[in-house]
Amino acid sequence: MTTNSRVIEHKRVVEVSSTRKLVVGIVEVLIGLLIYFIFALKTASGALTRFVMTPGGIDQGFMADWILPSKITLTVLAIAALLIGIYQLIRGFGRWTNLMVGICALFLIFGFLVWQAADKQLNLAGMLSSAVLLAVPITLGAFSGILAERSGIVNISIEGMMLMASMVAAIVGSVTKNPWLGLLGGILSSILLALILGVLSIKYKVNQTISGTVINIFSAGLTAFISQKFLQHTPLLNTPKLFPRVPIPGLASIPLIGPILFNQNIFVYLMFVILIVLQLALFETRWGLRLRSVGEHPKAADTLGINVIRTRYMGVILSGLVAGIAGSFFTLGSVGRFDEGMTAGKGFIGLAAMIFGNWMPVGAIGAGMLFGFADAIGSKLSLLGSAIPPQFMAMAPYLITMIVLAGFIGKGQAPAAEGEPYEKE
Amino acid sequence: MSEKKKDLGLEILKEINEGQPKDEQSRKPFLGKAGIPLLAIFTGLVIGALLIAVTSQSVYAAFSESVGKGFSAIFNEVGTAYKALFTSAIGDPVRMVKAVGGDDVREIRQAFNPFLESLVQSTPYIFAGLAVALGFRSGLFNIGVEGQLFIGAACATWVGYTVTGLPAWIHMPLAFLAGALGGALWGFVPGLLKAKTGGHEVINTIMMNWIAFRLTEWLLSGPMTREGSGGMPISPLIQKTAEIPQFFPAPIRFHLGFFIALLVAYLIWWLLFKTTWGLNLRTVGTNPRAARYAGLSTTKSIIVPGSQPQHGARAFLGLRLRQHCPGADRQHPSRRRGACFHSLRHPAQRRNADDGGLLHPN
Repeated sequence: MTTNSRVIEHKRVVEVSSTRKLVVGIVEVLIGLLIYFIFALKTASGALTRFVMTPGGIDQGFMADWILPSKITLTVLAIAALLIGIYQLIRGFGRWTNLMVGICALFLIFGFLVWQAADKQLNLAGMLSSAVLLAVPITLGAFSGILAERSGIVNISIEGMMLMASMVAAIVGSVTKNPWLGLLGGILSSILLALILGVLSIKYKVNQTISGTVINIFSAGLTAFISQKFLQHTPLLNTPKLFPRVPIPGLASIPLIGPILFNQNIFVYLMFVILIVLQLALFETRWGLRLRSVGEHPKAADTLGINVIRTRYMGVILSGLVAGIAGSFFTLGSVGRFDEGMTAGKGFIGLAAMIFGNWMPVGAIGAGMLFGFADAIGSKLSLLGSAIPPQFMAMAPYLITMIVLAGFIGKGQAPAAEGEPYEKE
Repeated sequence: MSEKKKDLGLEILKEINEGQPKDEQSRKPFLGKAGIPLLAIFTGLVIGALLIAVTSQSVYAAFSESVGKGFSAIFNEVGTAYKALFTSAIGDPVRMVKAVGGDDVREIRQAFNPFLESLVQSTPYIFAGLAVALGFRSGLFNIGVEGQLFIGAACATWVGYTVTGLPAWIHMPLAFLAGALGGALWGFVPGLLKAKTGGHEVINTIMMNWIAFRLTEWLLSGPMTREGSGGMPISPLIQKTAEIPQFFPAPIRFHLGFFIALLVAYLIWWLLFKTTWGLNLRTVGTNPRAARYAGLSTTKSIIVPGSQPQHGARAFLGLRLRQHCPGADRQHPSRRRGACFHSLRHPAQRRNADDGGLLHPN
């Protein structure tokens, strides 16, 4: 192996098959029609939608309310989506296809909000702020998945690791009265599970989906047992101190963006720090190149002197670390106590976000934000007295996950050696 | 190549079907096929005992006095727990003998009830286990039996209370059929997605589970709610004609459902191993490429079992909905959820034996 570093170019060839082009175009046209016929036509022509642009409980970064004429806004959105769809059907957007799908999805969501909040007011900034918070476990789950899968290990047990970490973080945080120690405890418990996954799937070459599912079931069972046996009767063990909101001086007073991104708790900042570190480490350092090569072609990596087994253990343990942070978020960053099954499938949604984001940290955070937003809409709309039952809104993230997995946004490029145990010859 | 990587169901199937290597099996003849599950149960009991000991207050209290007392406390605690487990699952032999000797009919019933109750409890496990086994055989890891079961239960309950004026011999099977169809529909979606788009069935079925939980929650607190339930998600009582007939009077709930489960288990074995359809399905499960080479439609074979598994896992639970309500509170569905994951585990443990979940120790 040579020591002089070489510049590696990343080129992603985007091919859009003709069927996908057609399907995407039709969907975009349908979104346009939906916005017009369902939303716009059912809105009274003089109605105004008032969006509040400052989240509640904030003392800096105020912004004036945003008042929109509902019907005109909806008609404009519908026409824009329709035009995008028609262009997609005739010419196609090529490599921008996914971006355009995203824009149309945004139109749909925004149109939906304008429609629901016609003649009412909706705290849009509050919704975005809680969307960011809700996106944290999903995005961190996706990062955790990226770390494991880039090294060739399918980690389906992120859910279980998160659940275990959230419980341990709650207990340690309550006993020590220190959220930092709680976070540490959560991370350690999750790393322990990751080690089990590593030993099972790297050393004993157990099928990785099975060993992951085993960890999920183990976690669900153990946390439910401990919760029923101790946590429910002993509040002393289940009242961890929450990480407080920490406004970043200066940035926090930017209108709209300040309160949403720079006046949150430590987990949101951690998410962005991990994003930057992971993106740079994976694609700009030798460490990342080695990790990825082990996930793509372990034999070639081994031939070049990379220790495949050690690299994979490292990937899995780092994956556990990130999943531990994600799990601790539930008890230390959001709820303030542990409830049975409180991760509610967020680990799996994180995996979907990873696939959505094409195994790239930047993509994963985008997907995580989308899922978080879908989550936030549900809780806000029930406050508006919407006719749509809250349970249906709660289904949205799961439905989006399935649509994503069906390959609507195109087939991603999974690491080639993912899921295959490595046998040294 | 990408296909090889994507087919997790296939990988799992291989894992399960390969079993122990030949030489290893001959080395340990006494362990054989029955040995592994037995060993698993034993390990489970040992770990359970450890947990009981570690989490018991009285053990700690005894250890603070002396080590000897501590150990005897552990022994006591674990003994009490496992004795309770045994007597409530099988029954208390002493009580049984006494009851048979006496002539109190009610006492006899109560003494034998635990065992029969275990059979009642195992009925949904059998169905759910069969559902998973059928999926495995076609190369699918159907972790979504839980959601399929919820939907099946909702469908069966709906037919159970809305349809009136039918004789029992039509109504009960009709409710069964409705449950099976509901579950089948829920299984069909991930099956279709797997076959047509290659969508990961493990994640898809888990997503379908969550959708099913929310959907039943909405159904039971909205369209299907019982009048005067006061906001509790409970469905109306099903008609008498839709109830599965029970064999014995009051405390014993043992019913025909158990035998229906046995019958379905036999039917599925017969379908899998005695018909061309079953052969095709198993071929697709073990080697999709060879199956395609032989001219079989992989798509069809993946979708069909994908939709089939539910076959009736709803059976017993569906009719139980009237007493317990899924999604009533956080407690209940989670307990049920656990129930289903058990059924998932044990076909794998039983090396996908074709009795589905029949030998589940409950």
